[in-house]
Amino acid sequence: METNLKKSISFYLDHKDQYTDNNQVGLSGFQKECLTQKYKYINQVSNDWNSLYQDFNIVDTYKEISDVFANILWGNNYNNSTITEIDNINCNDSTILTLNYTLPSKKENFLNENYINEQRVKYLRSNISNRFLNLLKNEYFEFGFVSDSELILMSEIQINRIATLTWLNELFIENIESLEITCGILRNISRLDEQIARPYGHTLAMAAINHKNDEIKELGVRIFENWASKDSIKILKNIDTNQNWLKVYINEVIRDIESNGILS
Amino acid sequence: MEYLVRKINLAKWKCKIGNDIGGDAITGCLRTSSNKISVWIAEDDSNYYNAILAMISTQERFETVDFVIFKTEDIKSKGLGIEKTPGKTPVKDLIDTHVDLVEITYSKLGHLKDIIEKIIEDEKTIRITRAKSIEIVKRAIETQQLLKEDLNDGLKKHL
Repeated sequence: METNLKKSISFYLDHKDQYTDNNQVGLSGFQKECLTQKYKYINQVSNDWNSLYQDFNIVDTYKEISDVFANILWGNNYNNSTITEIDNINCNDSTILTLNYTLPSKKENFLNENYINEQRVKYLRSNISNRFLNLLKNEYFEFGFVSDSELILMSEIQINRIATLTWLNELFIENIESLEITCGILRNISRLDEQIARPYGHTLAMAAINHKNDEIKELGVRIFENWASKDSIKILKNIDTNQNWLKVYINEVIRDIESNGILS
Repeated sequence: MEYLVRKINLAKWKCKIGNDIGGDAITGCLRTSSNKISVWIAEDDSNYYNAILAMISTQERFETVDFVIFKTEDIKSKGLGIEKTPGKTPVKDLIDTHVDLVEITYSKLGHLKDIIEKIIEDEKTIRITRAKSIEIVKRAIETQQLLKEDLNDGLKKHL
């Protein structure tokens, strides 16, 4: 990601002298206007990114934005990019609209953490939710083996952990009546490192233990069992249940964690 | 007498619809491939650790897992065929302790379901907790039954 961002910025800065009227021979007035607007926009964005990169080094937060930028500049062909390819970008107002939709329109939004996270959650809702939920409903799951939905979740968490957990929390609430989706979300949480899942994972696991369905209750305990941490013991010791099988399982997990040491 | 061991998702068997086992238990735990179901051989019903080792050592994560153990003769008496095939496990001396239940049909699947349901009713399932799984694999490495390097990275990091 960092490479893409650096490439995006440095490539533009290295070639910006070539963004002149000489390269616009044969274009219509409308196309010229679009190009001018686009370069102006890219210039602004590049400067903003460059200063953000240098001043704050907050590169990770901007992965998606920088990828979009890199894509707009030279499509999927990052390595062989040339100025010609840049000029081959479709010059129409939809490009400008795409840029304006995808990127914060004001410089201050680059520094607005709420804006960034909200945009990311919106993205997850509109682009990932359906695929993820379908997998949870239909994928073959076996304890001990990595599932496809887990791979999606991990990849999104690497981009923006907080926004992804917020989105997952939303999905959990929205689908609390669906056994397969609720179970799927809990299985996925149980496979995250505790530090990554914190604090939403703990809350969801506790909510699961209080669910009326036994399978969901068990998955809630499994999460703490997998984390095997001080917090796991603390939480499990404070769970009150009158279901014998659940008590037995919880006590077994507490005993295992205490006797084998804290794992995380 | 030989016994056979199969991994199941116990929670799916406990979520009944009325008095019947839910479809998820059948399609999830008795999933066939080429009309075969993979099981591991145990010497007897109290000496099943090798069969369990064979299975958990193929995993990508340590997690609590439930198993059922049934007599080979119970399987045969229901008309289910058994065929010895090499098992997929990093424990080399256990590769030949694997069999497939073969030519599984809809009705034979029903017989298998009945056998497992009875084991669950009798509370004779075996639960191997996550901690116990780690212990089993660690012991196998210590006794050189298994090489750590042959395990998935997801297991190695906990050993």
